[in-house]
Amino acid sequence: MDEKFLKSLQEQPRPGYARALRERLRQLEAEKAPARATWWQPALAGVAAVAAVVALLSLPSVRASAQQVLDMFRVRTFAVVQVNAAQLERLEKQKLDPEALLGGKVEKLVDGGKPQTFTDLHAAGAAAGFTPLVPRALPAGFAADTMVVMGASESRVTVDTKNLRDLLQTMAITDVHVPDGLDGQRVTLRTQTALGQRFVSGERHLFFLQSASPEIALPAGVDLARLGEVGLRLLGLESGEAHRMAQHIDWHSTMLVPLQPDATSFREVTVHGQRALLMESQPDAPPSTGNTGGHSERRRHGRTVLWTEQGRVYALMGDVNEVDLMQAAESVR
Amino acid sequence: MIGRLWALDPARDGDWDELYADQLPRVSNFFRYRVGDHALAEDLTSRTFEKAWVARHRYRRDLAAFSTWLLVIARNVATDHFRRHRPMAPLEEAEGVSAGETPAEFTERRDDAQRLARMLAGLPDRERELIALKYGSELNNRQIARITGLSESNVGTILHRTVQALRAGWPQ
Repeated sequence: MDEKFLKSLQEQPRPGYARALRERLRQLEAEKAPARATWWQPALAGVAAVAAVVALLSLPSVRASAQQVLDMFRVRTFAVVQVNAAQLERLEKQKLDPEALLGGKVEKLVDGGKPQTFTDLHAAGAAAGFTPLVPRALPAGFAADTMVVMGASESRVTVDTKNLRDLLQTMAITDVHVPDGLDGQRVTLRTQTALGQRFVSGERHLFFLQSASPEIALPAGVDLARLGEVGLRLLGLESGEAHRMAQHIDWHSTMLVPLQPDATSFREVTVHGQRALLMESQPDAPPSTGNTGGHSERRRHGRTVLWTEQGRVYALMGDVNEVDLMQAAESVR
Repeated sequence: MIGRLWALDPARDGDWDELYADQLPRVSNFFRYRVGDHALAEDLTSRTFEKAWVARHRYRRDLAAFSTWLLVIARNVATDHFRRHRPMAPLEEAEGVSAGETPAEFTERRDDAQRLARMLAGLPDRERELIALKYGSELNNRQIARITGLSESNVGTILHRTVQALRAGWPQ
């Protein structure tokens, strides 16, 4: 009785059944369109995921006592890392999240609760606990739709390096190493209360997200550049390039933004005199590799601008042209 | 990741047809191993996909693979089913594989796969669920640990013991 035999009960679903079920789901699609208020959630998830990745990149490469003063990461700037789509897909298949990367125990210290939806900005601001900024110059035809507030959350991860080593091994990365001394270290990830405003014009939409920077508290006495190099290698950078970039980046304040070179373009711009990152999604760009593991995505034309100002992170995104997007960003007050 | 905000927007992504085609065999085979009976497995698979579709906006790609998320729902569907239908012994359900046959016909025609199905039906719930996730859905031990809340090493140990028991019980 081998593995193959143990799988011998597997069967392909009957074609008729598969078709009928798909039809049933199509009916459900028609009956239950997705709730508009929740479409922004993955955007916040994206912020949290970045925080998690930075946690990985910021782990100490030397043994650090738990009693040492904590080091702190806050977003002040962004750095783009161009990686190939195949590498991202491989990472996604390896479950790039805190549990998978850092292994060990994950404790939810503060639960952000369910997102709240508002139609009144003052009420949303009251729920968020801050006075929200607003883009004053919207593209023609756009009007405020809904606002959403997601509560702050905090998680503590106790590091188990075995998973990270396994991941490096799986990705065939042998030129960087995860030090033994990391085991048992604690990393705390905090996301702050975030407020999102949605503006619509027919089928087009614009979304403005604002939040205090996510924070990551980690043991002090760390060689962030060395661990950053591990992260950059995981993102697919060549050995020499990863080393150079790791030395150049300020790992205490730089959020990495991995971009698929065939799917997006990006460049540095300014918003309110601050350095900002403008990214553009290509319309209907096909996946760059043939096998997408079932997660190919149809990308529509869209632009995102990211910037930080006075300790807060802002993202404005929409299917609008660059001039309109940048005017809206500059008008945020 | 932020650079992929657009890609993460569920209003924009979700080639549901492709996801559906990808994941349907994984979920239906989970139930094939979990409950044995073909028709019941299809019914529970349908229920899983319907629940998943209605809740799809709650899926967060950064937290779990879609297949893992879907199998968490499948597992809950199975739990609900067993809670409501506990009087039906798993062994009888597995014999549904050859429903309609006389015992003599069953004995005559049963093949290795049917024999395996019967042995699975005799397993305790937890062991059978792990076998279903491992050999029906083809998850690795880490993914199974996430879904079940067991530790990865515990999953490995239980699966090892269960396969050993199946081997021991296999007619020579």
